Amino acid sequence: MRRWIYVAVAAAVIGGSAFYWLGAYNIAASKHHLPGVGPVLHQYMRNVVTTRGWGVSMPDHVDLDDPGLIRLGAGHFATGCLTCHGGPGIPRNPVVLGMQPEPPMLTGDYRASEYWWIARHGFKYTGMPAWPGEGRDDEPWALAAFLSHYDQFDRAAFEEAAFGRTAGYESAAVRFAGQPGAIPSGLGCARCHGEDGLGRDGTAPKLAGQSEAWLTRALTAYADGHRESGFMEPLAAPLGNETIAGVAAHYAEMGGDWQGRALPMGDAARGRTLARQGSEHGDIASCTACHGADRRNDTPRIAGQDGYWIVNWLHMYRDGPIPDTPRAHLMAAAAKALDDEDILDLAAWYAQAPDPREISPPAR
Amino acid sequence: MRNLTLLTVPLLAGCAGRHNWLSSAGAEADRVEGLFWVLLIGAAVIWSAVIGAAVYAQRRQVDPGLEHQARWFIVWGGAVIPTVLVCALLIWGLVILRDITPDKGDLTVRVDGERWWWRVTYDGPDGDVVTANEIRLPLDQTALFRLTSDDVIHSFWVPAIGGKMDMIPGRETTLALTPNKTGNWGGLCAEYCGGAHALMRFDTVVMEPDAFDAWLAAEAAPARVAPDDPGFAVFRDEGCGACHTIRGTDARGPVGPDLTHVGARARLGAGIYAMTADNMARWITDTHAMKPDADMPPYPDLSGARLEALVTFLLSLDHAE
Repeated sequence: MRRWIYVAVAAAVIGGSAFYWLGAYNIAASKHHLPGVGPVLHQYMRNVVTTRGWGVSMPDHVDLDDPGLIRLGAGHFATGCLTCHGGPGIPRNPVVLGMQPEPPMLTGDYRASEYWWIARHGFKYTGMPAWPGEGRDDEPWALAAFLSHYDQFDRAAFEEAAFGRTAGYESAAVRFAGQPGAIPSGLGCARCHGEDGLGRDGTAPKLAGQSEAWLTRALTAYADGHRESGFMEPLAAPLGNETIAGVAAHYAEMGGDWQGRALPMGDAARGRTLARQGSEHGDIASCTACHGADRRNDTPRIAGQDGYWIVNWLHMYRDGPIPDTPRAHLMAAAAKALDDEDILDLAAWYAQAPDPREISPPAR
Repeated sequence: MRNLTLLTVPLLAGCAGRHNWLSSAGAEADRVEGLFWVLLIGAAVIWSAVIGAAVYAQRRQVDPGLEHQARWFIVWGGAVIPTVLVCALLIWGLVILRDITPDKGDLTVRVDGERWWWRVTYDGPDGDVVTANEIRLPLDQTALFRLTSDDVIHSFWVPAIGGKMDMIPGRETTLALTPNKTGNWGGLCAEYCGGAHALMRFDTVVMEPDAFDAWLAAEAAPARVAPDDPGFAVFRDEGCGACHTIRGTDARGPVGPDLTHVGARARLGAGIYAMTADNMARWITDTHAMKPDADMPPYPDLSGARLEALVTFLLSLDHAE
């Protein structure tokens, strides 16, 4: 009896080694799966998404029907997804049709939390990547918003959402987006941040008039991976120092009236007190001491920014991923003691574009 | 024997210096000390008597005729006398506790335990006088401490003068200290409160009443800051005022220690380093090397003339006219 066990183990080791070292099973993408295997694997993938989707809860301040968030999702779709998945009325490139499994045209048949999970985590063995901004759990909601409305888009509407101009995308053939030249450089930043730098009605943060020093630092940090963002890193990575300097100078020169879009939550009056005076018992530092009218040129303007972004950034500085940039630890120290209510209240006040005199430290 | 000598070295070291609770620098410490000696000597006497009785009983023949007396001995020596003694000690202890936690004193000092420092507020003639990490007390007057905490449980203790008393989030505890020797006595947190607990200290300076009044008046005055002080410009530019207050300027952050007269304090970092320019510069640029886990973020990119100006400015915030 025992002899047979030895024989079986030896046969398994020898057979397994031979299988492994000779590459017996052909993983060529040109070969189809064995009959039945493809559907089983696909169903398993669906099961994973369904189960994981149960554990995803959408933050209160995210509104999947917000046109700005949908546009942002469409814009990122053009950057990162279109190449493989095609888009509304835009076919997939023949190159990707050779993938096994073939990336599907999307049909909008997942729930928003499932889209979030897929965009955030991706799939092993399929070519579907995880979200490029490691830890930025806030960002994939834009994609979830867009994909939840995917069926309502035709090509023109998609291009308008993603680029701000129809047919902004130059070619019918899909290119590898995010590489230099794929998206016309004139549209590169403006498609989300607006040609006036005011963020296209809540699509992306306002940049007009931010200091050149701050814009340069932020873009450089995105480009070299010191600041996480699935939206910005793929776009900033291919930019050289010269391009970054040009973009920074371009937006720094812009003027413009910042009118932040407030979220339908948060107590601006309490936010005002917190921002100006801090809180002894809450261990909350005064925001206006740094983000006031006479701030340093490496400190961004916040007053008049959209509430949505202020909330996301405060969560980022409190919970991570904290940027690995020279003064980010100061912001992390300031955000450490904020609770969710404080964050909503601060965002409500700062989004109102307070008077510059208001955001200077109050005289005693 | 040699081992025993080695063991007593740390014990004796604890009996010397500014943290010595047997140095009788305060009325409350004297009360506790009296209780301590009675307990110690009484315990030694009782222990000797019990062991002596046990040894005596071992060596005696059993005498059935004495059983009745033996029972009385056990009832009195084993139950009645201990109960009376323990009750008496409890009453004595409660009386001391009542006396060291009165409702009012000659002056009131509020101390708020923070991780890991002390926010100190005096009742001045014109309102609150806020300072930090250094407590000054007038000789032979009873200071009533109102103790609170914002975060976790701390314990306020000036061993030489009196205490200790827990500082509990959500409630106020009180403690009286009546110092009777001038000098600089050490204070510390006596309840583990997190990473830098051992570095949460303060100075307690006992002064003649006249000197104390002068000190309090100087402490109550706003800082004298020249509008064009280059160090204050750095202070504002770096956003220090988000957390720190300098009365008399627009810096009114409520989070960290009040810096209005920081240059007049003997130490920085909550009683742990001498207030020197070198230590201040290092504190600003490399905070966590001096005090791990401190909430203050370091400013490693400050250097050269800017750092020097900032340090000079902070040390200039003293009591000099």
